[in-house]
Amino acid sequence: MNKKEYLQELENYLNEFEFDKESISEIIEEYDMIIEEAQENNIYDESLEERIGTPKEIAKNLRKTEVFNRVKENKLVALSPFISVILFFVLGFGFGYWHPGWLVFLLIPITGILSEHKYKSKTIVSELSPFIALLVFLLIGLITDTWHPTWAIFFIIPASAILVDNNKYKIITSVSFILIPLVYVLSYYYFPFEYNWFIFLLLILPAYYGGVITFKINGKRNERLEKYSAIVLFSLVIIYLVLGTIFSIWHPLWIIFLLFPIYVIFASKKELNTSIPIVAYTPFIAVILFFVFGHFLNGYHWSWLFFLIIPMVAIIKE
Amino acid sequence: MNPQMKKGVIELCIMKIIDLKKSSTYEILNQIHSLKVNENTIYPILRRLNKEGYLDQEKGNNAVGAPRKYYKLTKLGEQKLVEHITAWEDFSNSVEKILKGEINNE
Repeated sequence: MNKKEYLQELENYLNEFEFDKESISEIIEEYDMIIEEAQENNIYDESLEERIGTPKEIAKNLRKTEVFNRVKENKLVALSPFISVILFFVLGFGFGYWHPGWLVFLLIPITGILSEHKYKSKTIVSELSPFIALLVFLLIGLITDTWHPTWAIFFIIPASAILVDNNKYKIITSVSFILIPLVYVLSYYYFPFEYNWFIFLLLILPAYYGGVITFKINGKRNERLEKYSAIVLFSLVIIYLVLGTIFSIWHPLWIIFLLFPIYVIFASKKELNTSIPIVAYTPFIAVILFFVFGHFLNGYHWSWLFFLIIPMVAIIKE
Repeated sequence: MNPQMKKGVIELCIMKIIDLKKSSTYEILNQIHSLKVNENTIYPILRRLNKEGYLDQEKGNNAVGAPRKYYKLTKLGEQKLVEHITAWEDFSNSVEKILKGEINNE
């Protein structure tokens, strides 16, 4: 691997691991100097990786150091799982609010993201958007029982993600992801017509130009994975709309969207030809089991036990 | 050797190399190479030590190519190195005693 390829691969991995621009530029500058000095000492392209390391492993080790430092700096992040469990038990045993008391577990990712805010403030809205959408969706759903069309709130996730990207169409595509679902909601209440969910087909163009689904494998965009993921996501939306309209089971049918991250993990591992770590799936499986047993058997007070499979599987696989 | 322990020993070696002579990352990588350690971990350790205030970087002239950056220990780094060396000497003395059968069963 020559110097240019080496630095490019390192930059790709650092981007993939979401290092900020300043850190990437510092690291690349440093490796530029290391390679120059190596070349002056007769270390050429073929033995470069052996002497100074491989871009992927260097980026991985750098990420470990950065994450460790952040956790060390912010004890609240490390404490958040324990705080959530205590709050969950207090709400459950004390007041019988096992459901929706489980929402306190959202504190774990939210605390993590807020602590990252110090390092990359630009992406904060985009990273918090799934949790904001889920909270709004569940609160409106549980309080008013209007799961449909409240689920349209989830479109704030791609809308905010597009804004973070360096895309020349970002403003117009982001606004489209807010306006089109809004038109659908208005149509639902004020000018209803049969198959009004066809309005969502208008999102295909903004989704294409906004690069809504981008996946990177080994630091490079993988168009095949992007194409199939888009098909899976689009199919899930159609299944949700069709089954929701026919059987009126908007809740808990939305759980089918958890199949999307499961598919993405499966497909990425297949592209990489690596074994599929079951640990990656367990959070999604646990959430699905928690809701299915909680909803259909009215077992929210005990179905939280399914969350224990996450650490159990991690310990067994470790 | 336990990976965590090995990391501590590498950190000690890196700091000592820099203490002996202001060094570039390549020079450190080159010297550590003889320890047969994972070269992918060296720069991340240097970067962490720099961020924690134990190291400083300064530009130096280079006769042949572009100017280089060299690491040097800060005052805090010098104190840390003394702590590391003391801890290492205590540890290695204890290990040596055990290996020589000089265990004190008080």
